[in-house]
Amino acid sequence: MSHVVVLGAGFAGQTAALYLRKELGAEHEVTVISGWPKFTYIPSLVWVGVGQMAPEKTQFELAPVFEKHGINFIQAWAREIHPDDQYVLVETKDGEKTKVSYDYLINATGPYLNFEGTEGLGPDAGNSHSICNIHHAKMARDAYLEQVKRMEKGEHVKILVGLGHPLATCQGAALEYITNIHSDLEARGLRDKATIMWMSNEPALGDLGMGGVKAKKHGYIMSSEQFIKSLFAEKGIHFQVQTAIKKVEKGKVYWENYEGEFGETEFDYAMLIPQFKGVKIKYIDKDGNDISAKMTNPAGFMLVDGNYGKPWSELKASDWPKTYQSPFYKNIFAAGIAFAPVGSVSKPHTTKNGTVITASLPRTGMASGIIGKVVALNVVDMINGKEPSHKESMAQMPSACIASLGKSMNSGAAASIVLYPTVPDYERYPDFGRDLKATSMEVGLAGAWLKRTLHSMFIYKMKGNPGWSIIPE
Amino acid sequence: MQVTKEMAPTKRTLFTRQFKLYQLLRLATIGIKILKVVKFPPKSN
Ligand SMILES: Cc1cc2nc3c(=O)[nH]c(=O)nc-3n(C[C@H](O)[C@H](O)[C@H](O)COP(=O)(O)OP(=O)(O)OC[C@H]3O[C@@H](n4cnc5c(N)ncnc54)[C@H](O)[C@@H]3O)c2cc1C
Repeated sequence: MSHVVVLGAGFAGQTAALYLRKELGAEHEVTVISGWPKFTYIPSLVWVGVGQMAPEKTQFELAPVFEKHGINFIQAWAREIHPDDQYVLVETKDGEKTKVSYDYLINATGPYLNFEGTEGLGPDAGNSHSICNIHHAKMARDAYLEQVKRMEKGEHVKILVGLGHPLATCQGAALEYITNIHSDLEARGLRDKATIMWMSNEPALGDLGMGGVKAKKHGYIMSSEQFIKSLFAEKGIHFQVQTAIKKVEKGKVYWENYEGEFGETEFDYAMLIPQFKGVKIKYIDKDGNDISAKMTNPAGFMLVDGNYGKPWSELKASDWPKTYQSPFYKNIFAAGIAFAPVGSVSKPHTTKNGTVITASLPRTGMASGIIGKVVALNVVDMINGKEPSHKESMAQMPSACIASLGKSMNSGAAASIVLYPTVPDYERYPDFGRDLKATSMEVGLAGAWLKRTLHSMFIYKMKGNPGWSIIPE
Repeated sequence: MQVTKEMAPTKRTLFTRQFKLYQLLRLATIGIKILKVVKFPPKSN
């Protein structure tokens, strides 16, 4: 009998737990440890943040789902992993610490939101907002609706949305948020009362941390830069890319751009995505030494089977991890945002002042789900006495980004961007790194329908309802 | 900060983006495209 412990119940952890339970016999035990009692469908937080979706619609209780599937659930935070002694030290919300032993461990703890990485950033500092978790999205909504009240009184407000750290990722979520603000204000008849501004660390508009996308359109090869420029032109959104936000104060951001120039931008309301780091869990060896620096990269993401340490210009598609197994402990895997990428896809830039500005690669819900499945099936392989046989790197994985531009099913829209592979492979596709036959970009109401369908479909899947495994990750 | 009018969509484009019959067709097309790339990713160039 084997005991598999999954840390985290997001896209990656939930997918892994469901596949483990599906594939393993009843003699094997599956336990999920997660700090929160609920699953949150994070992509819909862009709607919560503008008050267009009730927060409850993005969540469900985990315990009944796990009970139905015969999965143990411990609501607690993992604090330490002891890989030699094969246990996780967890802490409940009452502060009680216990050891949970395992035979196999999957780390799917997602991101640590590193607000401290930028002085004054985030809702705790009180200067800017975030929509990266349900609590933040609710605070963002309340603050945004305050601004709406001011606009209703005839005041003009400045709204700033973007990336709050030189190395931040999740440009797509910020893009959805800014365009949803535009649509919401338009629907309220208040659009002329706001200046809406985009500030990001991307090398170009539409880079999205993916090095930009190229697709065939109207008989040409169009870049995502033109695609997003067109969107911003349509919506009158001001933009500034190649910019690192270094400090946030009440009503003001301080930034540095690619040229090494410093500047300030004023705002009344700001939603700025923080840097993502690995969740702060210590790795402790049998002698009690902290081996976190060996197990993780400097940002705290768990090292897996990637070819780490190469400079950006030398990185190849084949360097990206495929099995997500720790090189140090074969019974430990990482899935979703928790694994360490080998580098960025977007071109990094260092300013003359030494500031590194890089749009980090987003690890989307789709990628996290696919990796969750790969990892679960590899654990099943090992339990069956085999080597991990399931391999899927981000350079072999498609991405379908349906970016909401307005929620309404009648007059909303979404930008539907489908691409393959997620990480460009210039050996297979020398021109653009991606297969242009599989890649497309378009805007329309169909995207809004699709986005809403995905919301319902993925919550259905994550609940493990009948037929869940037929729905692709 | 810059704001541009370059690449702004024409009225016709804006109309087709909201024209429900056409969008129904696009929904099917995008759906099939996604399913195809997920289930049968390109194997070689
Ligand atoms: C606003 C927003 C919009 C997005 N929109 C999209 C989209 O449209 N499409 C898309 O594909 N992706 C989208 N993403 C990205 C997507 O949400 C992430 O890729 C996905 O959530 C990552 O899954 P994960 O399982 O790795 O991490 P998470 O979903 O963050 O899950 C992490 C889990 O670990 C738990 N946890 C954390 N620390 C501990 C600990 N110490 N001990 C135990 N448990 C712990 C958490 O409670 C949680 O259950 C969006 C992200 C944001 C922020």
